[in-house]
Amino acid sequence: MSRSTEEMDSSFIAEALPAFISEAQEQIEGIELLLLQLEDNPSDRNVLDALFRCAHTVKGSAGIFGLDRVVAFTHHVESLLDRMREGEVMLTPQLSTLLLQCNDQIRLLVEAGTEHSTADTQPLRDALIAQLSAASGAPASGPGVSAAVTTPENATGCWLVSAKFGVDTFRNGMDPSTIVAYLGGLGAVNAVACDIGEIPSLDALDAESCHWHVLLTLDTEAALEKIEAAFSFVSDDCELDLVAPNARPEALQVLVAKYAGNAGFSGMLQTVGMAPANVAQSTTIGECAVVANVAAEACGTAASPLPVTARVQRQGEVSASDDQRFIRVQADRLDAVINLLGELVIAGAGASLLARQTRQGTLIEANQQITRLVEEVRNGTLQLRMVPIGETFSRFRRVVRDTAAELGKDVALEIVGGETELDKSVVERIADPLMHLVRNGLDHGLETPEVRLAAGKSEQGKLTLSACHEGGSIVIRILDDGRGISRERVLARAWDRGLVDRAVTPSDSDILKLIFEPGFSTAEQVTNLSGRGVGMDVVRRNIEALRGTVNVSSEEGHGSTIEIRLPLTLAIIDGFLVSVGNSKFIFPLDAVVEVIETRPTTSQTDAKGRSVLELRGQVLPVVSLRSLYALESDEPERASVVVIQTGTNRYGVVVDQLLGQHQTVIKPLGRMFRSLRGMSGSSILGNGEVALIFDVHSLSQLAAEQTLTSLNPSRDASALDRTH
Amino acid sequence: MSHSLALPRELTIYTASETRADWLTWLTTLPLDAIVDGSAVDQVDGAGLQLLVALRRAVLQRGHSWCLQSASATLNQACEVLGVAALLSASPAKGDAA
Repeated sequence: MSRSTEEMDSSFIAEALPAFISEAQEQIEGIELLLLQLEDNPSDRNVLDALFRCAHTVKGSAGIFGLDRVVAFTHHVESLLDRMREGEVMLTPQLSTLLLQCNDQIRLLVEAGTEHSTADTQPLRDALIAQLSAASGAPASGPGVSAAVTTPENATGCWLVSAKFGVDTFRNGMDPSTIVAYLGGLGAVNAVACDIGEIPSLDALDAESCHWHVLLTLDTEAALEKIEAAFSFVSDDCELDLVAPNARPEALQVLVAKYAGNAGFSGMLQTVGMAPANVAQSTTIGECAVVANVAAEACGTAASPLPVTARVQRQGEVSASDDQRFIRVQADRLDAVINLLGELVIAGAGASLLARQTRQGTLIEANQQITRLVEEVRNGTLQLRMVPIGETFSRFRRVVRDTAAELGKDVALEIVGGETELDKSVVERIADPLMHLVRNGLDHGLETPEVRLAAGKSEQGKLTLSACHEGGSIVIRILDDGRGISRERVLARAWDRGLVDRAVTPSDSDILKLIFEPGFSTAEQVTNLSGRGVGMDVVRRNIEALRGTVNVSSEEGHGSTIEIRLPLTLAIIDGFLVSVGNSKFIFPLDAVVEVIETRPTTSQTDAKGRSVLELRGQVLPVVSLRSLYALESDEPERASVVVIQTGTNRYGVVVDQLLGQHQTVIKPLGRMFRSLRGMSGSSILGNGEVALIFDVHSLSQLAAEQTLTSLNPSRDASALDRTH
Repeated sequence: MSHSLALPRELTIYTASETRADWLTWLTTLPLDAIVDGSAVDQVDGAGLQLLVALRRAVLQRGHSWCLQSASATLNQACEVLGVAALLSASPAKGDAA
């Protein structure tokens, strides 16, 4: 690249380069994911196309920024991908590894940006280029020669378009007739048919639900993308099938088979001149070929064997490279809005309190309206921060693949619940601990194939990452079916390191918790894979900093499960406000199951305020906040019990007064109150009072714990009483 | 008595629910030869057309004949776009409304 160009555009480049780098990184991540997908299913044309587009985009935008090294290198990758698209080269595991390495190289080059770093990796790149050329079976062409856009064979002629619109099409403000009319603008719509059998009788019809299924032949020179684009506004909700003019007979056969259950479909085919009446109903290959031929003749072209089968099933299938189209917003701007919103919620609560005191109906009403709107804005804004955890999970595919290969292990990674959403800041901060736990599982948990076979297990180990919502928090589990954790070895090490007194043998679950203690894992016992100088204690600290908890369970010889429980968001929750004496407390509303009036308990209340009562034939443990936190105030005449659900456990909390739902802006507890157990934060109420927010999970642990420690003394005490 | 149904000017998603209610009422007093007059229609969309198809089906289900008269140009064109032209023009009852 000439220096003068660089100087001329230097200001532009300086401004836009960060955006390019971040976008390119997105594309590069896309390439990695797509490659791994392609490994599973090498013949998937859609994935291959998306892969090519990603690589092409990186190359194209790198060109704009004059990143010649990126352009030159990516060009070779693109050439190979192109050969693969033409079906001349098939993806082999070796090829996949090569492409992944190349992708890493592209990432490095992009990150280096415009710097001409001294530690250049030119030799490595040359080696990769040589391999790429060898793989594509063609001599390496000069770097950056051309943009090399290979357009797919442009199919001209008569397309068969089948569009079964989704039931919500009208409600989404879309109109099938407008879309069909628009198609008419792309070329000539020769014949249209619709399946009126799909439209119910007036008595049964919901006037706002859409039942149109339209079949038409379109004579156009427009490319597949153009036709698809006409449906872009309904793509989520429309079954679109396109049969290209020169498609193989199978393409039409697939379509006919798809709608074989629709009595009206053969009629539609007939109407658009595509089928003799008796053929469309049958789905045998021979007869369908006839259909296809008729179809082709109707359009004036011969059925040629070109492999342009454009069957586009759009429902819920957006290619990985397309769903990355987002507006980029700086995270701190979003944070500023959320902070302001927190203040707005507090101010709003204050205003509605004042309004209620004035007892003016209209003012109260107006205020309620504002509160409702603020709530909607709040929900909408918090939604902006929510991202599916699947993106983070899929990053581990590569880690698992490479790490397992390095360790000589065969491991399948299974991802469950990738669509589970949580706050972006939580996702970002959980990625590192997760990475550590995954590597740990691969390194220490899962065994080599020989060991597994000897232990009577399948050769391939299994690592599962799962996520799900559970009562206002998200639970992430890392499961492996490896050798599990040996309690004896853990205990022995804990004794060695002085974490536990040699005289003490803790309970099984407490032994497992020892692996999270600082100083448990040390540099010499961590291999270069799982250890980056980060011990499990750091993992736990990171998770606890997110107001989360981590638990490990393990069965020796059968594997281990690490369970991470995190709050969905760090900012605002829907709370349920209660009071005990003068103190106000908030439960996360998601955790509240129901509220009952207190009733005579079926057991004695112990010193810590714990007892049980009967609720619909089941025993419900209850705890009194007054006794648990030693709050000094008089017992009210009537109290209530808030029933809380955490995980699979239910318990009741006795409180004096119920103050109802409350939008709660979470403020962290000050340093002085860090040690307060059962609490996750505090909140400022509208009148300036402070309420403490319960962490229902740790509250239940706190209550359960005391059962163990205080039961015996109280029994002893009663025994003493009797002796007196 | 033979009173025909005059279609409203607007046959769109915005009026679909009310129109449906009106037509259901009309169906209760359905004359033997149901005649639907489409001359007034000057606005029609997919939802409106769907409603008309549903009406036709209801009429045929009740064993009456179906006849759409003097459809306006707008209505004709809309039928053409979605490929229902042949069905909405005047035609006697066929046993196709299962």
